[in-house]
Amino acid sequence: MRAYEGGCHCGAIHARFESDIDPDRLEVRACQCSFCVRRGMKAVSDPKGQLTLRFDNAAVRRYRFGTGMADFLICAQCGDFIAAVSGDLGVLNVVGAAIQPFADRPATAKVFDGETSEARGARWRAGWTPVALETVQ
Amino acid sequence: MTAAIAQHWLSGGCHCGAVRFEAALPETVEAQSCNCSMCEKVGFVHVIVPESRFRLTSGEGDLKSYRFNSGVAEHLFCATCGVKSFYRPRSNPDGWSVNARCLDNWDGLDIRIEPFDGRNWEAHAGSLAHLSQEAS
Repeated sequence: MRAYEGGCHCGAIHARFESDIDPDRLEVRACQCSFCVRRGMKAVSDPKGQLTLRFDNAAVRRYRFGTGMADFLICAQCGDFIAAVSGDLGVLNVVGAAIQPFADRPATAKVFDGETSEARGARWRAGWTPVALETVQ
Repeated sequence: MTAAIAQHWLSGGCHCGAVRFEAALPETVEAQSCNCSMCEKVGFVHVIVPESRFRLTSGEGDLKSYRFNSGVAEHLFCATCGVKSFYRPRSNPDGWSVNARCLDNWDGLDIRIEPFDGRNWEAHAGSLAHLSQEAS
């Protein structure tokens, strides 16, 4: 699989995204929720790929809002937002983790307002990436 | 002679609501989108204002500070939600840079965003200096 690596600004969180899909065919999405808009978030995911996040637990803040179904992983030191994680699935913020060629590509706006929790969970299961969290001391 | 431009106090803040600010801005807001390693990562859209046109209305104790490189800029983000809604920029240490994305009326904002080449900061920062000067 192709691998793409990046991380937060201060280096406390390392992100690795792997996918067999041609990068030109991977959709770059811009969620229009109140959180993602403030961050200029751009998402890339592949349900058959792999997302690996490596960090010191003490260096990461998990932020929850809305339905509380996902943890938004934020570096406690530099404030960078790297990924949203729900159970064993995650979605990478290619802007926050500075992962090219995706970060500089125009994103498709996605509005999920009014979505039920059931529909949201189903959408994440169909589209998000299996995630492994590797914590280091 | 430059005619005075009417300004209105617009409110904004972080995502969780802890940090709230107000900035006096004209009807059409001029902003910069910077391509440096820091600004790109947080999606910051800069609206630079003089000291007198910015006020923090809540959340001073909720702000975390991050400095790197020259250490002149003070990057401030909410300790709870991580959102950087404003900060003290290296280009304009006598003023503030507000994140247009964090203004309450971002969706309906009349804004002109110009690219700023922050990867070659030394060559271009001088072009921003006037933005934080108080009106005489």
